[in-house]
Amino acid sequence: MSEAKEKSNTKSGARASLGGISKYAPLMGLVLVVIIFTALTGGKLLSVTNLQNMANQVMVTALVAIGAVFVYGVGNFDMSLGGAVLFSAVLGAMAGVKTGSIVVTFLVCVAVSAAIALIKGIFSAYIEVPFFIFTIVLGSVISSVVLVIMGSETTIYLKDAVREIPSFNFTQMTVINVVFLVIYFLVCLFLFNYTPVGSKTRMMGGNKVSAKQSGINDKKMHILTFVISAIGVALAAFILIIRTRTIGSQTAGSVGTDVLIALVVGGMPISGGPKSKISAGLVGALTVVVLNSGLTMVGLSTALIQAIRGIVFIVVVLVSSFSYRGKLLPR
Amino acid sequence: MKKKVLAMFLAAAMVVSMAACGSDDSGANQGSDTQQGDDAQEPAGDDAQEPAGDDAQEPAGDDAQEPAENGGAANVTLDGSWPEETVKIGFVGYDQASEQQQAITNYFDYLCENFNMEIMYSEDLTDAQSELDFIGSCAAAGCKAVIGYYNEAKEQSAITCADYEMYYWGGFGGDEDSVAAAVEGAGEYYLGGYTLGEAEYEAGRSMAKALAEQGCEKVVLCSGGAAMGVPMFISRKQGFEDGVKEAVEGGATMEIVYEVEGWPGTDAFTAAQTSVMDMEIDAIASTFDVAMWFQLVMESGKADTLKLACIGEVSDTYHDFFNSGLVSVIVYDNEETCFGNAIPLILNAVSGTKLVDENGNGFLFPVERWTITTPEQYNAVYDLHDAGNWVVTAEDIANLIVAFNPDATTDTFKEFYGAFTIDSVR
Repeated sequence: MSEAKEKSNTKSGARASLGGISKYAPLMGLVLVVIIFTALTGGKLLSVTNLQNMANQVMVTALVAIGAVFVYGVGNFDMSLGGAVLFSAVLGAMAGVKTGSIVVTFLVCVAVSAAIALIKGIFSAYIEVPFFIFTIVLGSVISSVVLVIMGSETTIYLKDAVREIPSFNFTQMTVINVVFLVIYFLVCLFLFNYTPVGSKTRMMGGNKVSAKQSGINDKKMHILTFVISAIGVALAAFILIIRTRTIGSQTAGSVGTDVLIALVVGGMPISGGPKSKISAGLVGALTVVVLNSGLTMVGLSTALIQAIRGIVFIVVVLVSSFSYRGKLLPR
Repeated sequence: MKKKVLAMFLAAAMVVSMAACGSDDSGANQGSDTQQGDDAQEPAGDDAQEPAGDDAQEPAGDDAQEPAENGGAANVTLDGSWPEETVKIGFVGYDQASEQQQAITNYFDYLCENFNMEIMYSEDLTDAQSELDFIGSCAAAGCKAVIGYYNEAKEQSAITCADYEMYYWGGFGGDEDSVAAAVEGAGEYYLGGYTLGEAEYEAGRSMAKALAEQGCEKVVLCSGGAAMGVPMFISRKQGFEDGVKEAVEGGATMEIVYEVEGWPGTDAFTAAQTSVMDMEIDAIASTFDVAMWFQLVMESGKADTLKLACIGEVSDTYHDFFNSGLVSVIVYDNEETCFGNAIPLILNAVSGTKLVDENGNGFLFPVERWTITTPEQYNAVYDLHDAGNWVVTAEDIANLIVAFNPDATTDTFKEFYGAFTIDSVR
């Protein structure tokens, strides 16, 4: 064997082992962040209060990110997730104020997010324009529509409801959050890993042409992934309403970016495909929340927090990307 | 490959070391928020004293100092050692770059040198969720109280603080319904806050009146978010329009010749600015900042004939322009009277002597915005701050804390903060 070939084998072997390690990099990153900040905060990070805190803080990002794995998995880059949460939350809160019913609030959140998902799904399936451009515009349009709908009201308060909508204390809210998150995560995990929906999603994200040639109904899959994602959006909007009891035109403004960061930090290739994994949404969201909470508790200035957070994200993304960079099939 | 591993190692080392530095130096973090100890300011007098007893949070007792005159400085030692246990306070903000928040931060930095407290500032928050998330982080970090400078979630913030057994200060923009809900929902943990009454309306009205008194006849009004339905701007605009009407009824010649909607940063605003520079006008009144007009006015050569009025701060930004006469009216929320009052309320509460109203609850109390119309008024505040002095000093605050002054009551507190006007600043 020539020396060059041997060198090449060694290099590819090293890359393979690095790829193996990097498969677990997001999880290792999460564990590392937890260990570091548990030490730096003298254990306060894992206090019961802070665990409840973090459970509440992670909810919106995690719910939306878990559902978004399906959308990103087929190769759709959706920048309107924050707008969808905002629109669902605003109409849900308005319905709640008008009716005084928490059930109606929930149903409106689901209906609105499903409607937005259908629009996006149909657009993605039938109209040949760069989808992410469409979602950027859609997000902007949704924000404008919200302003029009709200009119002179800049904020909707549940306290103005015709009948009192029950409020939940800190512990009750934590229980509701955990139940919603666990159920939605398990359902998505099952769909993504153990049903044809998941495998078709990954195949389409890997190579749309061959997926179509192998008999996958790509139009149906586009719409289906958005509908699954819409459930996460609806749950997030509902949780926002009952937790904050206040919905304004700026609500969920950072959700789109947070979800994107969470997915990347969680090890999800943004281009989708076979390396997509449902755990990315949860692990990424948890990492971001633990990092934010830890940095705040350590007592750093906000400027330092932003700098450190940026560095950590870059490192995690660098490590995570070893497993899929340069390995995607040509599309 | 080696380079990648080395890069990751170095980045990780950087992160850990930065975080570790923050941990070890938490007393001095947040950009010198909490300097304490040896370099703290000098005691106010020879007979200064600390709160009596081992437990520093106990009132000083019978041999305590003489309470200062209302509004005067207490004669006490303030070396940053009281209370015994550091009081961490969360600050819910929304724009760290704003002049007002920077002014508040500077004032709190000064107070942190005199009392054993730390302020934990939020990042720029944009919605109720991020506000409640930050409050949760404050609780986990061991904060005893939260100051609601940004309070989108209104009473829900106070209730959340109560869930964490933290005190909450915030007047919800004078919204009495929210105050009542906070009193009911947060109970003993709601401390109250200030109200400016019809301040937004009055801010606009007083700007118009001041410009009329300065002889301005043709005025352009920048109405900010009024056209978008933002209540604060609607009130300011209405106040300005009514102020113009009153001036006209009083015999003045004054009219709003043009209205610029929205904020800087948009093409529409820039185009409107260009149009305004071609108009024959005497003044531009802004329901928010006015600094975005400086360059245009200077370049158009109208600096000697045009007057600018705004709702803003006493700061470096306006100093030269106010003294040159270009800016002739500033309606000012003084940081010490509007926001600094949170500190005596919090320090009293954490030391077991919460100031309450006649029903035993946290309360709203009125303070005034100051309308600054002369360089003398402006410079009185500016020079005071520039020299490192404050309208409300740490000694004043100590005088409102029962541990230092057993005679401090809710009434003395209200009287003290309610008594300030621009003319009382010397």
